[in-house]
Amino acid sequence: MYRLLLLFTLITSSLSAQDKLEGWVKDPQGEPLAGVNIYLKGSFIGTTSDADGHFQIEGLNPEGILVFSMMGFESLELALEDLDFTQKQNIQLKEAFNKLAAVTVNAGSIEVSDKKQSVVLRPLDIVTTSGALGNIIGALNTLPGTANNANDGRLFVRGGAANETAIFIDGLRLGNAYGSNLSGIPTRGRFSAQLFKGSFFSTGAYSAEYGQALSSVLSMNSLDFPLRRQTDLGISTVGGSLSHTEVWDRQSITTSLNYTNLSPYMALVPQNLEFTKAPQGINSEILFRQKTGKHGMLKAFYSFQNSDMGVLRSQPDTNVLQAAKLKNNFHHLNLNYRQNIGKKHLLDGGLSFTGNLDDIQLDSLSIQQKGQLWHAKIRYQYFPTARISIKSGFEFFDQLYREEIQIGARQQDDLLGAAFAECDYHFSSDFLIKLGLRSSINQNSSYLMPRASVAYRLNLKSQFSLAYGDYIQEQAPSIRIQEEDLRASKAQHVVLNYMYSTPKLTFRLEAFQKNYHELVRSNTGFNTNGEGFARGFDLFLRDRSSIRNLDYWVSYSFVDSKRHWQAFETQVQPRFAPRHNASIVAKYWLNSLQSQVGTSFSINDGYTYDNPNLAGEMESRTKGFQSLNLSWSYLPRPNLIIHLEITNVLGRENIFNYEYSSSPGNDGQYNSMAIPQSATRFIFLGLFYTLSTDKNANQLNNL
Amino acid sequence: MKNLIAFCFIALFSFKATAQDAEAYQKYMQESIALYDSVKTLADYQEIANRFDRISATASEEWLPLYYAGLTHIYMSFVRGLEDDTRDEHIDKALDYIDRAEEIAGENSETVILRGYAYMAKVSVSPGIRGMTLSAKVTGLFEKGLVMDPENPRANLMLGRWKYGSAQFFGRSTDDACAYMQKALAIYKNEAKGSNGLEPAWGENQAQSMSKRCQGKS
Repeated sequence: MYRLLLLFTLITSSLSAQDKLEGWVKDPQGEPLAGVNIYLKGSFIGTTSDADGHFQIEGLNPEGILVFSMMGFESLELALEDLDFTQKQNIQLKEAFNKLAAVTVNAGSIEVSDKKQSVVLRPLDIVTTSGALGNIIGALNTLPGTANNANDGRLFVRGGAANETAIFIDGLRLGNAYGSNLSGIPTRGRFSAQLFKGSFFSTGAYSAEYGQALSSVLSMNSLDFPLRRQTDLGISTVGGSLSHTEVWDRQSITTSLNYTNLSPYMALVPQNLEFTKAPQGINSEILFRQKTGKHGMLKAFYSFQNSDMGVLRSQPDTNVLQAAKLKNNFHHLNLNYRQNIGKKHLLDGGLSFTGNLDDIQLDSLSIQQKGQLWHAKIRYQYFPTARISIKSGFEFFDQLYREEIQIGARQQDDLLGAAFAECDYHFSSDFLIKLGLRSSINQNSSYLMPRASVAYRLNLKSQFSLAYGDYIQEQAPSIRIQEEDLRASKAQHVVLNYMYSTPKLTFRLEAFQKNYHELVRSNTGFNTNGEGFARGFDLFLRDRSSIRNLDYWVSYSFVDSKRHWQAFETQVQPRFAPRHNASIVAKYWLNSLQSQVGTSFSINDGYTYDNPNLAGEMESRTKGFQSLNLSWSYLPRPNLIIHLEITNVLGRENIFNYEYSSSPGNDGQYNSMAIPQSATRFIFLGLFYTLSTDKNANQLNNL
Repeated sequence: MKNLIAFCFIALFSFKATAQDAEAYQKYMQESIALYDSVKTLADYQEIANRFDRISATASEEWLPLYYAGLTHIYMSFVRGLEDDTRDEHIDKALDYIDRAEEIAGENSETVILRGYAYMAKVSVSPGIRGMTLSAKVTGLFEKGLVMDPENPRANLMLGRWKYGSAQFFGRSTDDACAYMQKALAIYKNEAKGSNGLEPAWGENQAQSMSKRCQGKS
């Protein structure tokens, strides 16, 4: 076609004198647009607007079509026969709707990704956050909305208990997401950060896609396709690791084996607990990737882990130490398939299985706890236009829990189905509304849960968003096994967020209110008459540019939370919800030493506890938690990293709780026993070496 | 008979048009490529990018206009004084052109090297953050481009440049990197200009200044 037009151009330009057009191009605000590509469709005739938006184009033919095109704006096509060539033209271009640049809902959500320059946290931050020891959860614990419970290690979000946060891998629920530990020994996330390309962490009012979590969701996305064949070796003060990746044209396999044994380390560094068996274990993983068709991908992931430990624990009642031992076996299988159907449809789904077995020995009492979780999910996304996206799906859970002690066994099997639908509509690049609905049904009840959020952008740097949601969570299997007929607990969230971000600076302010209903009470049998609330605000500031080579963030969270639950007679502040929580994380790149040095400092105002010698419940508070951590990563060669990390450098003796004897002594007072950290400090030294054809490859992602 | 005459006429007409098109395409491409020599400002680059974009809209079966549009946006991302987000926009635009070029012509050594160049530009936006995640990709692409055509001077140049940068960063020997640069320079010197002067030919100046730096070291 353009050939004909070209010919016309040649003919008409020689015949007509009216082949010249002049004018200005402006944006909707009337500002001149420079660099607009202005051309006669189907020809090579064209020009570019100058700094004043001015253009002049020659060699036009009156039948042709003039195109105005520019990055970020909708292209405009004008039929030349409608134009008056004697007049100077005033052209206005409309801003194009670009989904990637459009406003998103930030309320309650923290994205860990590399997608944009201005994000709260990047995947790499997880491994380079001092004090996190390469643990995903440890890094998240420096973010607003979390409360550091360093003797526990799990995520506690906005006055919520640890089990109110659900963890997903590629959209599928991970059962027993934390390593099994004896109480008082901090646990870690099950999987290394190296497996994930990014994650989405919600501290409230999250999407209808997720359920069975009263407070929070952590959704981690596994890596898509590895880039190359490589072998990684690691050796550290607590064990060793070996992993290998093999890549073919359309398939890849990664296998890894991790062995941990803390006995040599514990022999050198003093511990507050007396270990009869230092924690040790094996952690193995196989990842398989198969590309299908043009955009499809099948991901399969299997992990087997086991661990073993034993301690002698003091008890407030007697001088006799209690011998506690734990053996854990864990399997997780995750199958996930994704397929684009054209450009407008995306279908994905998967199946996951988690099997967990804890063998616990408390003196002569042995307890076996077995948990199994199946999760199947299908999700369909439809993008009718750039402004609209619709997401819907079904999921199904089967959770089995079995408890065995010497005298007998009992078990509980729960089935649960859920469906969700959610629609996003961008009225403009600056205004988004999101509406969702989730329903869930099990043997004895069904629920409908609306979710809604709006986001409004004031300008390119700042925006507001507001989110609301209803949530339910079935009671934990360890409670249902005792009383099956319990309704689910409920929560309502409202979150208001303001965010100011430039590529170099991110500032985030968020206020929230969360109301709990039907919490479990256990004073006289079990019932769900409990209630509670959590409200507060949090602040986050990340600055990567004010000081050269320095990147730091500061977060502060205020939480006012009280609950009438468990065996408490009144509303109490939960042990795990300190009112004031703050963290500072800093990283400095020392070019001359080829090193990154890092530090982090966490502080809170102490954990509540119940002192039976005083009137009231949970009326006392421990001294505040503080920990200063340091780390140093040295890269002498591109494929070699030496990493040193020390937590609680100052050696502060943090106390998390006081346990009391079950009956008062002769003086009428209950004996108290402080619960400290299992070790005052943790020192980690490791060496990581990568073998690959690419000499620049290293294991920074693996630390 | 009438039909036959009509057919012949149309055939003749379109043959003529094709010949003229090809000529116009050739001329316009050459003109546009020549503009690289006089480029001074971001606006000059924008004009070049616009030209190639125009050509690609009209000559929709050619991959070279898309290739050059992509190359120009990579150059633009390196213009001093741009915000990081703007630099990223240019690089993303370049990657989009490279995707389209490969849709037409498939992957070849030149498109693969250009893609590596685009990711190298991404790394340069924030080396501390992206170096660790993207450097493997950049190396992989440059190596792939070199395997596809070991005699492509740009493949040798870019891989050499990349290796030079990281060797310097880690305070290691640049010999390996400089060997690639020497090879690139040798190919540039012997290279007969492509038959129509439209094939990618950039990089000789870069190779010269890089190998000067190499000689300065040894």
